[in-house]
Amino acid sequence: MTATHKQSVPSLRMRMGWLHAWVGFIAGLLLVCIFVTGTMSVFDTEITHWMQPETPSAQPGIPSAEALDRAAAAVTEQEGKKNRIFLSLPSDRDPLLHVTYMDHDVFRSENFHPQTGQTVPLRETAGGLFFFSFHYTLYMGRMFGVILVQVLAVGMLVTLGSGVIIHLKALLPNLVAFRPQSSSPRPWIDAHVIAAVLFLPFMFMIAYTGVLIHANRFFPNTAIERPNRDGPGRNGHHHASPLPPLAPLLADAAETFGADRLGFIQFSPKTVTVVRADNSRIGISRDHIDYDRTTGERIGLVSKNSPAARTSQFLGGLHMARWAPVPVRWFYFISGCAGYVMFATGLVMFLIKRRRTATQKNSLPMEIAEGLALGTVLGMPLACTGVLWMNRLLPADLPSRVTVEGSTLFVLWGALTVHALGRAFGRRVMKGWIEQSSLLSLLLCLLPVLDLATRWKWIAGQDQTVYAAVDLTSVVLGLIALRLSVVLRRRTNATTSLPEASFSKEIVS
Amino acid sequence: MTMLTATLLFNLVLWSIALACHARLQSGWQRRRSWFPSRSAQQSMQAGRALLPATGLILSILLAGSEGVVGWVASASLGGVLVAVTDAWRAPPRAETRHPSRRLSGQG
Repeated sequence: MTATHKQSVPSLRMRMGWLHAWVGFIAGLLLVCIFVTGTMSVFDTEITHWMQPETPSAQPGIPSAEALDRAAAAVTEQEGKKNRIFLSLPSDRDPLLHVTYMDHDVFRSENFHPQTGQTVPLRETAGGLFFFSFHYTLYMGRMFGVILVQVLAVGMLVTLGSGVIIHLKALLPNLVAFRPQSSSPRPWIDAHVIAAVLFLPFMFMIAYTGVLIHANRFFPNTAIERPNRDGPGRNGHHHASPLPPLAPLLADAAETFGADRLGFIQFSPKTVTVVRADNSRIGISRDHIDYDRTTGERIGLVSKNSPAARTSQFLGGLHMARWAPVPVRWFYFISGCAGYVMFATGLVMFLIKRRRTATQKNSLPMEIAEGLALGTVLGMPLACTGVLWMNRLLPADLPSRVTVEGSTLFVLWGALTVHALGRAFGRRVMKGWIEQSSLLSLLLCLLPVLDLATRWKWIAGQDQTVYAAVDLTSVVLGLIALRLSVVLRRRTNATTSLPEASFSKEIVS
Repeated sequence: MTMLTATLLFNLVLWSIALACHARLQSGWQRRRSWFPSRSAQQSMQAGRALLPATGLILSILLAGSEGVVGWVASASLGGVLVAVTDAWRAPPRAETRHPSRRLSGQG
């Protein structure tokens, strides 16, 4: 091999740089959205609680026999016409008793106070589950959407691997180097590297386990264990015998699983099944005890304990964090925010680099890329915040609340992306960044005001922890958005003298 | 306070100290203000950045099992962010020149 030929062959680092940049940008546009909604899903139950401000205080624990009887009556009423019904038992995170069923692909609930058994009228809401569903399906269906998200997760693994190779030499020495006062793009690079390197174990774990959770979508012929359930027919018509008293069943299950480790109850024509709570241990085992529906006698404990099953349970549980107590949940939340920062700064750096090296400075693809980056990096958090606002602004008894709340996300996201593209085509994309970050900070900082203004009727006697946590987090994130807006405005003002203000010129200054 | 929460906080402190030691030992690379600790101080820091996390890991396994290990990894990330932000606020970089190995050329 000649010396000239050696020089023309790109190094591994350069090859990885290309891979990192392009896979990172294309996958990153959607991964930002997946990270935003995934981060919110860490507290999905708490967000649902916030979105139902009528929720009264209640003590978690095994519900009273009276409450269980009333819930059982609701189950019987729904059983003849619905496909899937389950009874969620109270937990530390959600102290109410819920009879949940599917109604035309929408989860609906009847709620009962766990001690008194009284019906608790709560407004219908998309709730935290909406963000959770978006996180792993992008609302593109449970087959195509899940596969797309998995492909993106594989793209994330590729990006992480190539990023490690690019950064290998400085990985340890620059582990905690953050230089915000340096000239741009150094602060962007440092923020990107810190978010990626310090949270690298989390990033790898979350991407890898995310792919594994629905691995059977990639390999549909893989042998998987399915519970042998005699569930209701698809048309919902079946002849189920009356339910036995549930209180003795729960008392028996509590002896096996523990009183605070009871998750939910499922019903079939022949059995009643008490399932272990997901917060019992890291692995989501779904161990359950089957009881005869007619006599209430215990049939047996079903537990998957094969090494493969336990590994799968562990990896799935690690991703979903249902086992995690509140402090660990906050770590997940912060790590999710770090993932968002990693992708957002990565997208910005990609655009800066392309602006610098592009032969044609204002090409259509470049402007589309800039618009899409803005539309996802700031558009998605804004749309999510919009859902929270819409939840409180809509009348509580509106029949189509769930649909309107869900539509808000997509309508807002679309509108903000159109706005971003408009700014990019008008070569004022930085103005778009300032406008959207200002709007985001405004909506987030005012969320506590909205909360208090729309919750004052029920505020007395309520446990304020969840509301305070959501409101405070919202203010903190709003202040960060405000800071971003101020920094961008300052830098834009400093470059107004430039003849053709572009994204890179404005940012790099 | 559960055992897991206690190990989380404890690990956060240990990781923060260890990573602060690490940052100090890399001061030349990071182009911060000249800071030359004595040889014995450097040796202590080198030992600290290895021993403190190791101690935290052992305690986490003993006190909280596999959940403790997850917490140990998570505390490293958060501790690193704390040290990075504190360092950036306390000792801004002195020089603007870029180290040759940190150029963007490798990033496509």
